[in-house]
Amino acid sequence: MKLASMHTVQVAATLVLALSTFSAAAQDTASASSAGTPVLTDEERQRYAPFALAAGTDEATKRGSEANPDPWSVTNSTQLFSRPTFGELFKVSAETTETGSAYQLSGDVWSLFDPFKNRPWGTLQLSGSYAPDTKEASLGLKFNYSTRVAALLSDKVLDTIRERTQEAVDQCLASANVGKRGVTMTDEEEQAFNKSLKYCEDTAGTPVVNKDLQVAYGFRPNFALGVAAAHNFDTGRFAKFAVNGSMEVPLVQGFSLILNGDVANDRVETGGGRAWTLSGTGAVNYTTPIKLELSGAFKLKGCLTDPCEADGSNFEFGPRIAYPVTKDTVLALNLTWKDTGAGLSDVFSGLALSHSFGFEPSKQN
Amino acid sequence: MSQKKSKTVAGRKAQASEPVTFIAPSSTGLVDAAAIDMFGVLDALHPLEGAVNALGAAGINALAPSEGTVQLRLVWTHPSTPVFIRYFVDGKHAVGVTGKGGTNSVSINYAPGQKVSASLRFLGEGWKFKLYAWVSGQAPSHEPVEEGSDPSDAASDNVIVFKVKIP
Repeated sequence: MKLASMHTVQVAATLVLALSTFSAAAQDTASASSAGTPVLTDEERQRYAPFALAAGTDEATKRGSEANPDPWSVTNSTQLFSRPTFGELFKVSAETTETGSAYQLSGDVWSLFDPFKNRPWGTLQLSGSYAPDTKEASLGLKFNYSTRVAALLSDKVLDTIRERTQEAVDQCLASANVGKRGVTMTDEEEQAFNKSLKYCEDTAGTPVVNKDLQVAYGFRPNFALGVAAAHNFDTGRFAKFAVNGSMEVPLVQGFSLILNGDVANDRVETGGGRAWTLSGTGAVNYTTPIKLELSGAFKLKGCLTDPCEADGSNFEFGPRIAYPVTKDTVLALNLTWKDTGAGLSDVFSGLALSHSFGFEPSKQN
Repeated sequence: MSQKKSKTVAGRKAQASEPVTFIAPSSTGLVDAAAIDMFGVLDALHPLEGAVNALGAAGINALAPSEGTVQLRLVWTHPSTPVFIRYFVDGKHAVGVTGKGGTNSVSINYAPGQKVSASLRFLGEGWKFKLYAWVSGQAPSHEPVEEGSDPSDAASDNVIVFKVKIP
């Protein structure tokens, strides 16, 4: 118990640290936008790089392309949909803890229906997984939807962004010294002007658009909804059906809040009855090149039929660290404590490895 | 480049442009409903090619430009993608508008011989566009003065700057 409370203090300290960094970040953003200088520094350009569902990003940690970070997801083969993912085309992952291991493959099927790569609404992923310990295989479909798209912004907001962009481009054109303007141009002068214009749109306009869009999106969330069914090869019977919804609210400077709810109807191993499991996860994560995350999860379990000996309800929490070994490969370690009402358990540790591909790398940064 | 373009649009263009008859716009500026190409409008339900052709065909004869101007009509897909449109005449800002809904039409002051540049910034991926120009005193044309599509998913490729070849 003494050990447990020490861990609690540590976790609380991490959370306080995270929140103070968050408020500092918010102040930083406010001062940057009030300064009124449309041309951004390299660091700002990096910070406001596109972070939307449809704009493929080139780092797995930014895409959310990792193995499942949630407690008890390992061996629970239907819980595949921990969070929305961003521009993930294909992923293979493996995870293991003291209680078992699971392997997962997932791919974007939207591209098959949409040969023009026109993704105004979201992505659709097909996912399969296998847990050798429970001999359960599952198949699931997940729909990712982002409200962080320019099409959903109001005309007024878009006009303001356009005017600020024009201002930045004009400033750049003035300093680019493109020669006489407003007087009939020769073909060479026109060519030079168009070249300067393209250069200014890219170097001065694009960062302003990206930054202003991020500010305009505010705390608009991304959503994911999935369904999955599992088959048990040991018993040869249908084992489970699950519906999972999740939401990610991007905050500022790489912080985001993730909420996840899962409802499953599963067959209880001993006794052969069926049970409902309702679980939810809340997590705050911080993405630098390394992703740090703190999550808490509850699980409520109730019996539907007699006889049924379901595991009791419990609460789990713990930190997780995900390290990008390469830009597409992520190695994650998580520690979990479990509280079943009779005090905290010893720590469970888990290891996960995932490899994924994005839609297409962004050349922007 | 141009070979590829004509190859991709040839089939639909023939279908879309043939049934259209050009009629003089009425004094109210409204177009006769019968003049709108029904196949073209149905084609709008198709992604990309069809929509761009149909919108261009249906819209080009809606309004005549006033004296001393050129009317620039941009059509694009996906229609939900907003576009920041900016036109320059001889390197000087002429107009800047936010385009929504897949079609946008503006008139700018223009005298023959002037150089018109366009800058389009699509706030989304997978776009495709066609630009039509109609100079006052001339017959409208179904030939776009410029067309293009998103070369890749990379966000940096969503701005396109080009010379508008006014007929």
